[in-house]
Amino acid sequence: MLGKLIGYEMKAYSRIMVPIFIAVAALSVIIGLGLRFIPEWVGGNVLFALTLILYIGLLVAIAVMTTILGINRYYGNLLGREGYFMFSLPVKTSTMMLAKTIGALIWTVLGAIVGGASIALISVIGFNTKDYAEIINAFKMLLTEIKPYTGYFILWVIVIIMAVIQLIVQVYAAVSIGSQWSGHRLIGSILVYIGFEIIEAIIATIIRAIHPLANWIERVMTGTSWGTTPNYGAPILILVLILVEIVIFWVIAWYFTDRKLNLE
Amino acid sequence: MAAIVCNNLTKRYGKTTALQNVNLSLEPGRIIGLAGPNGSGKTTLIKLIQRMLVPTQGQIMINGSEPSPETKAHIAYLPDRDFLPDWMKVCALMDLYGKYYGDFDRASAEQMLANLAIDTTQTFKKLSKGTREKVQLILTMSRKAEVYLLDEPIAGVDPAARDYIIRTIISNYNPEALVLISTHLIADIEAVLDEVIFLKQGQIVLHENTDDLRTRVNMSVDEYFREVFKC
Repeated sequence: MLGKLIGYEMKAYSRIMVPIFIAVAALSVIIGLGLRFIPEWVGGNVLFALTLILYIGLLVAIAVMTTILGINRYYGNLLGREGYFMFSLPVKTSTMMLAKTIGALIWTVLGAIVGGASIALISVIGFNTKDYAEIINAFKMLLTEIKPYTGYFILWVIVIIMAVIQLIVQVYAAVSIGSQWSGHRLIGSILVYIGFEIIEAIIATIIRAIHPLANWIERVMTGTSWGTTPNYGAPILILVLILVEIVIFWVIAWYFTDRKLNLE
Repeated sequence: MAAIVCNNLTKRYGKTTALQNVNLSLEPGRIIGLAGPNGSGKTTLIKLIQRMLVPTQGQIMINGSEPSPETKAHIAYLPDRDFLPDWMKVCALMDLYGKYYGDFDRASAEQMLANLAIDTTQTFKKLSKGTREKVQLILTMSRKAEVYLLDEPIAGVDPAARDYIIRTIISNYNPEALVLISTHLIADIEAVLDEVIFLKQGQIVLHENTDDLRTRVNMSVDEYFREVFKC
C-alpha cells in the first residue's frame, strides 16, 4: 500500500512541478544558445535580462512550489476535505505520513537536481568546446581531490537529506497541531512552527549553559577538521541530533493526526 | 454476528459531549436510518465507526473487530461533503478506487455513470455540485462492502436527485451488507428503511423496526420524528 500512496503523491506533485521543470529546461536551452551564438546579448540586452529574470524566477518557483505543495499535501490532502477520502483507505496513519514524507523528499531532491542540471545545461550549450573541456577537467580534478574523503562526503550528504526530512516532519507536526483549531488553522500551524523554533532555541541555550556538555560538544565539533583526517565527529553528532528531532516531531505529528484527528 | 456493536460509547470534544453511553447492535442485511437534528451526534457516530475519531470511552466492534485499517477495507463511506481530489478526472478516480479497494466493481460504476451521461474524462471540480454528489455516491455504492456508512446523502440536493440517490442505494448495495444512512430528511427515505435510530443530544432515544414503530405509534416515522424532535 505504501507504494500506491507514493505513486499517488508523485502524480499530485507532477501536475504542478513537471511543467515548471520543463519551462526551466527550455529557458536553459534558450539562455545557452543566446550565450553561444548572440554574444551581444550579454552586454545589457533587455531581452537577455528578461530571459535571465524569468529563469531565476522559475528556479525560485521550484523552491517555493515544492514547499507549498509539501505543506498542502499534508494540510489539505490529509487534514482538509480530502482527508475524508484518505482516512477511509485501509491504511495506517503512519503509512500515509511516510508516503507524504517520501513524496516531499523526492520532489525536493528532484528540484535540486533540475536546478543544478539547468545550470550545467546552460554551461554545456553556452560555452565553446574549449571552455567546456576546461570545466570538465576542473570537475575531474575536484573529484580526484575529494576521493580520499568519499565516506566523509557521503556522510554529509546523508546529514543534508536527514535535515530535509526533519524540516518536513517538523512542518507536519506544526500543521497537525494547528489543525486542532476549528478556525484559522493555517495561522495556528504557523504559530506552532514558530513555537517549535523557540523551544529549540531555549534548549540550545540551556545546553550551552551546562558547561561540561557544551565543552564536549565543542570538542566534537571542532575536532581534527578537513585536511589530513576528516572530522567525522561533527556530521555524526549533527546526524544524531537531527534523528532525535525527527523522532520527536514524528511522534507529535502521528499523535495529533491519528489520535486527535480534526478534519476540516 | 452483528455488523456493528457499540458498548457504552462516549465521545467528548473538550467539555462538549457529542455521544453519551451509546449502546447499539446493528445486524447485516438491514437498511437503517440514523435520524436526529443537527448536532445530535450522527456524524460523530459514523466517524467513530470509520475510525476517523477515537472514542473517549466505550468500544465499537465491526464484524467482531475493533475499527482499524482492516475494517476500513470492508466499509464504504460517503461523507456529507465533497471529499475526492478535485483535480482528478472521473476515470482517474475510478482507477484510484480500483487500486485501493479490492471490492470496487468498476464495470458497475461505469454503467451507472454512463446511465447519467457523466463524462468520465472531465475533472471532478468542473462538474456541477449535483453531479459531483452523484459521482461520489456511485463510487461508494460500486463497492461490494459489508457496511455502507452514508452521511446525509440526500441533504442539499433537489428532489429529483434525491430519488436518484435513493434508487442508486437500493439497487446497488450488497444485500448481505448493513446500510446506515444518517439523515434528518426522514420522509424521503422512510419507505426503504428496515429500522430507524433516533439520536437526541448524543443519546439514543429510539431504535426500532420501522413497521413495528408505525403500528405502535399509528403514524409515519417522519411524523413521529417531528413529534419527538419538536422545538
